[in-house]
Amino acid sequence: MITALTLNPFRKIIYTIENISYKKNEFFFLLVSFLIHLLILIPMINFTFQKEISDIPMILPVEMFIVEEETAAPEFTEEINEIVPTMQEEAVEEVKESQEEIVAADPIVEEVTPDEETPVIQEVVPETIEPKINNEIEEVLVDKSSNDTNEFVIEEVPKVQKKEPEEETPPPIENDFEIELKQKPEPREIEQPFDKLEIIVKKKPNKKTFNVSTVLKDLENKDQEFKKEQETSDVKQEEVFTEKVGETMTISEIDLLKQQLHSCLDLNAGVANLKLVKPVLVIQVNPDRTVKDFTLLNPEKLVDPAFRTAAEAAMRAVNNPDCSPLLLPLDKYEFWKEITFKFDFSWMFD
Amino acid sequence: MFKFFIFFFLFTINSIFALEVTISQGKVEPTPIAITQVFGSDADTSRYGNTIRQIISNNLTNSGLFYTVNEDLYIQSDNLVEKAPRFEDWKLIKAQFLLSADVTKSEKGIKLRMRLYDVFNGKQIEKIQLEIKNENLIRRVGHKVSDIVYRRITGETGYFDTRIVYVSEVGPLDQRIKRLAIMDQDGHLESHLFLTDGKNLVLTPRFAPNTHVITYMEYQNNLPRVYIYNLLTGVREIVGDFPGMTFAPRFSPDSQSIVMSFSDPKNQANSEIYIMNLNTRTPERITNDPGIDTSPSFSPDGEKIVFNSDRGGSPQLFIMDKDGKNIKRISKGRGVYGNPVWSPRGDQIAFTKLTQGNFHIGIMDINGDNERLIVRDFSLESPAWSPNGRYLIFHRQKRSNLDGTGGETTIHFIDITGYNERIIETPRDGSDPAWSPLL
Repeated sequence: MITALTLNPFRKIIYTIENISYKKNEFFFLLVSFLIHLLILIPMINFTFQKEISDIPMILPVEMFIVEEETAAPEFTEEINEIVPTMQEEAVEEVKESQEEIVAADPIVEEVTPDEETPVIQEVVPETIEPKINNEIEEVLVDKSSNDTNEFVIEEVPKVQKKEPEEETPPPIENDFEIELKQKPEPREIEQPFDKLEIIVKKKPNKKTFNVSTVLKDLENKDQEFKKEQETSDVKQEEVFTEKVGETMTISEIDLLKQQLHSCLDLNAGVANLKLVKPVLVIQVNPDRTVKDFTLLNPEKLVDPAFRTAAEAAMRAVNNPDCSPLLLPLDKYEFWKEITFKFDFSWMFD
Repeated sequence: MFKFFIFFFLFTINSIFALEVTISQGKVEPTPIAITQVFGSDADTSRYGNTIRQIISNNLTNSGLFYTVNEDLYIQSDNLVEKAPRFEDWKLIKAQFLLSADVTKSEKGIKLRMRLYDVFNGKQIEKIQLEIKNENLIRRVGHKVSDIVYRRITGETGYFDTRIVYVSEVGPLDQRIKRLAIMDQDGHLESHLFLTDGKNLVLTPRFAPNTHVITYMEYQNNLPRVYIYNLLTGVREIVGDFPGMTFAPRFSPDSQSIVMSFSDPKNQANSEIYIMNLNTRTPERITNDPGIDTSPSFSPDGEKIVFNSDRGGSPQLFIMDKDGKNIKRISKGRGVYGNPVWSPRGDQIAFTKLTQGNFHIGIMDINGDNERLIVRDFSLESPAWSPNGRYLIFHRQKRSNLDGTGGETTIHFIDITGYNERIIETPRDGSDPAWSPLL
């Protein structure tokens, strides 16, 4: 017996339960069994279907790619690359100027009486008013106003190009790099930047040969590549959604539904006694996301004019053609086949 | 016990699966309503029908809460609506409500039948029948129907079948002729009527809350008198002569007494508030302060009075019990407050405020919180509430010129939200408007 107990330590527990079983009837054990199962089952269900956003891993695949390479035409990239730096420089200049103004203002206040302050300010203001950048922008704006937007784009590009190198048809990105590299490599470490330059130059034939057919081919290839990438990313996204987010309604999906209903809930402002009225509608929804039927909770309150006004407004919102079909995810019908809408009109009084 | 667990289990499962969404926002826009042709059985009734339809449409639109859908967009024929409205057709043109009516001649006179439909919910929500003896009441039928529609949709009582009493003004500023006049709330030209001949200056007419009686002041031989005018009988009655300065008589909610302020003739700088019982005609003084207490207005339950007093320095608004006890200042902002009027709903007080060189019309809670100034101009006076407490009327005066011209006064209407201001046209200048209760 001792050896048996040491071999099977649960045997003692089983014996005690068996002893009790002689004293109790079968219903008692059925009840105990049911309770134990229930205690296990309820938490499991809760964990499985809990709607808190914190339990939903919002993992979305993010793919990084350079937009200009994928979409923009070469000339347009030139514009951007040339204009953006100038704007940045202008911004830096403005900041510097403003800093100078601020720095200059302190000693003036300390030194001079109020009579002398005004001329100092007058001197400073014109400096800030006439930055070189503004003039350039003004020129651009003049072009814009005088021509159509398409023409503006065409006209503006050569203007910017003329200022910079006079070489014929240089690829803009590489030229920029070349200029930078030629200016910078005064120190002796020239070899390394040139190595980098070589790497960039290798991309040249792929990017631009200024042959229309090659450009088209490139674009086609890019399109195909892009489509493939998109398909793979879509598959990845679907996998993510179906595996992790698709198990319940997300906060975003519920917010979308709310936004839709907000646009359909029409109520006249200032109607008295609506602050405390909160009608509740339980709606049944068809799989095609149209409203099948709805039930108003507490219909006995309809004798109150304020409640009736609010309830009817709520019903109109649900039946509003602008809110049909409801913006709900088709693959989650189980979650929205019945929706409880609680309407709160206190916003009108805030 | 077992059943309980089963029920508990099912309830838990159900609560887990049910999707709950709280809708706590919406759009505040005029509600589109379609009003079909009001057909008549003959030429006369057709004419009445057109008039009624026009009145309903104007009323609802002017309220700022509705707009009438352009009839060119109607898909279903007007004459088929009464038989069976095709709600899908009306949904397509975004009409949330549909009103159809017809006018016929009956033994008693003229009969109107009206039906109101909730288009989106696809049901009839109101059905009425009105009969009048003669065509003189056609306009009131239009107003009545407007009130019914307004009440059924908004849950509030309407204000369309009401009248406005005001002071009609004409002439140069130094020789102004002021007459008591009355009109429908929409200012329809045919509804205007003069109540006095203009020989004496009249001021501050006020309606009794539940009767067809007006109280106002009239200066006869430079002596201010308070009158009561019964609109049904046309009988005018002197309440009393008050040799000192007298201001702004106003009825109590039960219409049995008048609250007003007047000063001791020997000390014009001190006016006090009195309540005069109209049965006994004995004034009872309820304030006693060296400052000027004026412009009293009862709360709808008759227990409180809001008034204007400079006892603290600049004129401010105060509330007290009807016996003059528990005086509390409620206005909290800077500026000169005046003309407080308690809302018929009981939750707000309208007032004028002079600040930064401009007059304002404002509203505040009865404890002085949530003060909002909704109109601003050179000169704004005499705010008065609509019977449902949702709208205000007041008068606006333009600047006068050195040669005595200018200074025109006009009566305006505005929503308490501060929007939907519009002018109420009067044949001559109008000032000091007061709104009647629902007729």
